[in-house]
Amino acid sequence: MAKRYNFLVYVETDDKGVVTQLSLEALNAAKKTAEEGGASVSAMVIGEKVSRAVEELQFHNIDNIYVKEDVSLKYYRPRKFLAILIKIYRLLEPKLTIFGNSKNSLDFAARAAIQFDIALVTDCVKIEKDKEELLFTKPVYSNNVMAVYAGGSSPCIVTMRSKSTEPSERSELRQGEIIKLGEVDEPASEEYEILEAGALEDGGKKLADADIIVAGGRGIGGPEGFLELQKLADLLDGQVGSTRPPCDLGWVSPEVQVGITGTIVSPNVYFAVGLSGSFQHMAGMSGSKTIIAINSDSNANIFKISDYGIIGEYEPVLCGLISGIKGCST
Amino acid sequence: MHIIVCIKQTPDHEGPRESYEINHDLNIVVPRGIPPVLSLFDENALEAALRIKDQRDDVKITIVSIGKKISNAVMIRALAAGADELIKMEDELFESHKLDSGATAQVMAKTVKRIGNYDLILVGRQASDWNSGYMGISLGSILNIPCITFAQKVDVQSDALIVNRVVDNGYEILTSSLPAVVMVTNELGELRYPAMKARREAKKKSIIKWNAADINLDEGKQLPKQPLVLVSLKHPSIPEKACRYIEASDPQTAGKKLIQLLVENNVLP
Ligand SMILES: Cc1cc2nc3c(=O)[nH]c(=O)nc-3n(C[C@H](O)[C@H](O)[C@H](O)COP(=O)(O)OP(=O)(O)OC[C@H]3O[C@@H](n4cnc5c(N)ncnc54)[C@H](O)[C@@H]3O)c2cc1C
Repeated sequence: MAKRYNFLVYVETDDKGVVTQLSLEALNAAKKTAEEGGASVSAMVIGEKVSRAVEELQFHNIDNIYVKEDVSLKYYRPRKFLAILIKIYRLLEPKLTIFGNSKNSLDFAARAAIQFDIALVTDCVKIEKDKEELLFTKPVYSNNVMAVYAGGSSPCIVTMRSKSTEPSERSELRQGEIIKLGEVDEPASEEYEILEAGALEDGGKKLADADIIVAGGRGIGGPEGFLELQKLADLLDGQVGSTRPPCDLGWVSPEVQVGITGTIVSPNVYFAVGLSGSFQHMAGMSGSKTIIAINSDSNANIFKISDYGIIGEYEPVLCGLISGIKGCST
Repeated sequence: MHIIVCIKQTPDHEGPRESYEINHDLNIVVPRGIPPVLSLFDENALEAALRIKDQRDDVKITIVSIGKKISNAVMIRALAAGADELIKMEDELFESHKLDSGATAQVMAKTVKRIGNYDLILVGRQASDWNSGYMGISLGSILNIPCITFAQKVDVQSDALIVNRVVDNGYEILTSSLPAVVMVTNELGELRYPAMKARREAKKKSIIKWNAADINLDEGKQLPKQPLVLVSLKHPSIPEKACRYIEASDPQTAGKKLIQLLVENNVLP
């Protein structure tokens, strides 16, 4: 049976050439929506070395995998990447194009929407099908309100917020047609040149992958307090996280921010220490399996979504936690 | 050099949930009992401009704010922090729910063209109300100048722009020609706090009032149609849990007790 629509997913890889978690989630969002509506799902991969990702994608039940591999594509370049997308777009005419919410994807998706003069929903958390129409849910007003948009009959582009769906699962069956894109019109020039690019060791990825996170907020009071949190994290083999204020105040490095504008996490255990539980923060960690709150204010919002709580000044509590663990292990 | 900083006035983003009331008939959000403030990331954009001004003597910073009604009391903070003038682009047309990123960029582009000479346009990475996050890219595209997103450091060296851009798990140092649009992210740092004296002096700074007609945008005829239809608004539900509180004679013992409990319940190994 011929598929009625085409969906396209932009797949990103990490520095080892592996498909990112966020891209697997975007892929799953596409597949779920496609099932309801009888659409085909294609993926596009652009990069310097993409063979590993392409092979991986063949086990994800995708119809077409568009590939553009070139040494000049190691880093995201707006005009170059857009030129490639334009070529795929003409071939496929996708009704829906899904990106993950990574920084480069947000940039890419916006330029694509402007190029094709079509609608863009950034930071989307849910895609549904309602009769012939696609509906997109997006948090607005700093996560205090959810807006539902209808795409109408014209094509749309969305960027999916991380952890808003499960990642696509690998199947046994290897399939999917690999379509190598030949020559692509070279843009006359780039908007900007890259002078230097590098990886950050302590990136948000460490946080996203952590099994245990010990997070602190404004109530920690300064960088010294965060060193204490680090001790607990080290004992538990976990990572330190933070709300926005400690990052902005320079108490911790900005990469450890958890929340809608930081990393979205769902570890097994999340310690929330001296943080009130703003919706922007909770939207980034409420998926954690067990949440433990320590706060001097018994009315703090964070207790509402916590499994365990201690009401009190955090310093002595933390001391007790640390000695409790040391006691256990000896 | 002339830097334009685009600053939106938004309802306080730290208000409690009840303060973002939903009017289901009109399908709009009505802020209740929370004051308007400078949109969070626009403050970072202004700080970026001020840091360039710290380095050079020839910098003039103009703030442009688009909205239905813009409060001087809110904008004075931006002027006191070190901006030189404010252009208020006020009109009934410019209600926040009527302007998506694309439409805002159109209005901003017309405003910028009316201003005439400029070297750099700074905007926040996203507005704290509708957080779409592509106004800057649209603006760059309309003005046909480069746009760099997620800037955590913005420098001008001779006549080139140097930007340190945040990417997931890394960074890039980029250069482009001027004029350009730069979208600034919170990693750049917070807006400096003005001294009392600066606040007093800010009241004397120039505030220019324009409206849609001043940029030949009458009757909304030229406001682009929003490609998306807003179907509904609702408050999200975060599932609440029954929190088990640990009590003890002193907080330290409570901490120890908690660890015991977590181990017993297999939460911790
Ligand atoms: C668009 C947008 C995006 C945002 N993105 C994020 C994001 O990604 N992540 C994020 O975290 N925030 C984000 N914010 C900011 C958010 O609105 C809140 O300002 C922030 O989360 C509050 O951080 P906090 O809980 O640490 O601080 P506060 O709300 O000030 O809470 C501090 C808490 O510490 C407690 N406390 C104080 N002293 C002690 C003590 N000695 N012992 C124990 N407890 C103590 C207090 O009772 C209080 O509950 C965003 C905001 C906007 C508008």
